[in-house]
Amino acid sequence: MTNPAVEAHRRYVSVGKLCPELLREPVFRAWERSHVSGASARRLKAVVLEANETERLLSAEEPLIRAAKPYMRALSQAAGEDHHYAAMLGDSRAVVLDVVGHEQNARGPEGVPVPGSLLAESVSGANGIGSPLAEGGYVEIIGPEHFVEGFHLFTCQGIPLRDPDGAVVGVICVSGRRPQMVQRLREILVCAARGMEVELLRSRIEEDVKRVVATGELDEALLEKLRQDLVQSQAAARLEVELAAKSLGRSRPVEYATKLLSLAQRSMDSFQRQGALWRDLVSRARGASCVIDLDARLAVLAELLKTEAATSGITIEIEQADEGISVLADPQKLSRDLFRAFLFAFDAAQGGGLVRARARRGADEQAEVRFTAEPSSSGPPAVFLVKLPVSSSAPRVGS
Amino acid sequence: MMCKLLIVDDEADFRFLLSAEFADLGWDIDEAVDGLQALEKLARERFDAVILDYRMPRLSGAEVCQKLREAGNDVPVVLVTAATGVEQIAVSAGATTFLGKPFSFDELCRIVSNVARPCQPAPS
Repeated sequence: MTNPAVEAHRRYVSVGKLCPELLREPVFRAWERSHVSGASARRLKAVVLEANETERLLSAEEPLIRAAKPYMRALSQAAGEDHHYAAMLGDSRAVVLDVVGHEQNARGPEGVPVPGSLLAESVSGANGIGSPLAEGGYVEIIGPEHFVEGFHLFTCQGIPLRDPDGAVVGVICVSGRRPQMVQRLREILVCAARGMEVELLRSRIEEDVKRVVATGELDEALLEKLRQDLVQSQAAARLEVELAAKSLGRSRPVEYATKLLSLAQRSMDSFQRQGALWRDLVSRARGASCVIDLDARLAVLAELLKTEAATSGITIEIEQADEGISVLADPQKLSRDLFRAFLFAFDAAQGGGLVRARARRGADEQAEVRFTAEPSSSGPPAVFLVKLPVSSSAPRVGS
Repeated sequence: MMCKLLIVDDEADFRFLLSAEFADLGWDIDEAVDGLQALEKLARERFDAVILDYRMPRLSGAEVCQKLREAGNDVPVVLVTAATGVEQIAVSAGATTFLGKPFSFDELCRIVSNVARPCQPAPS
């Protein structure tokens, strides 16, 4: 029985007819876009930029290429001994930036498109680089579901990449000369994409830290230690994705890879929580006030400071309020005020002591966070208070 | 006799990852949750290499290295760290080499194999 996509392509090429009944819905949408924008279904090879344009582009996108590289290596290993797999990185306009994989597939005469190839749907039709960008999410294009004939040998799975502000900055795709999609590759691709986004966030944080260190606003030594803690989460995530990919490539039990990917997600969650807080701490901009859950904010700050506390021999306890307390505050200023209070409390605990933080409702629509520092040696505890206006009715939008 | 590797890190997930992968490569693995436990184990048994995290509670990786060398233990040590500019500290503390985070497992594996005492990992 003929593959429906093969029949769909035959009908389109012969009479220009699009057949939604023969294509999966996301593929049909991609074909429609390709048709409307004038892509040629008979094309056999990708269009490639001039060499000097490609070079200029690669130079401009060097941070993205660098952030993606470790994960692309991992992805290309996930296919194991199947040498026809390659990982491809594209920019936000679907121009290929990098290809990592077996030589035959990455650079052979029948290999995947090379750096500088234009894979936007308007040029190359539905494919694993252009279509995820057009759809704004994960897309798989299997063999003859590719709009252009030249890509029919490949099965591609792609997902967009976003920067810390949510803007699409590129796309990552795994391509192989197989007639079907590989589910396990989808899971690792999604995780790898997130890992790349974490790398981009780390670069942004490092720039922020350098700027703050230069102003002298926060203690440089402490900032360095906190930076190391962030890198720890990111390093764990990268290793977990790499090892999950290797385990799939070696056909180890899927449960092991699944566990590693779950660990990677957790590491990345931790990194992104702390990373968001970091950016609040080092930002000099005044943000708009919004509703913030105090307990949740304290918990993330404690997480950020946990290694610093441990190396100082200090225990942090966050005492949960009896009822949730939300405050209306500038998130950046609030984070900085609470962070400074933690640091004062650490100093007062004098190594080996206990720091408690507790949010509570005060009088007159005020909330306060009470920091108590109990030194391990004898001596009275020190108390620090941070007062804030309580939010009475606005819905909770962030922690 | 199998090659014996000690993995020292206060992060359980990190120890789990490295232990599983190196065991798969034929190493006999032991773990320590901090510097003090590492020193106890290194005093009791012979290891062919140590992977040691730099930043740990109670005793840092550099301090562990120093104490090892003061006790006359010349076990090869790979110090892993997220800190920048730590090469000088690692060398003066007596680490055999160091590796910056984030790193790939392949890099770590290559470095450990290069510095370990001559031994033969069991076939995996």
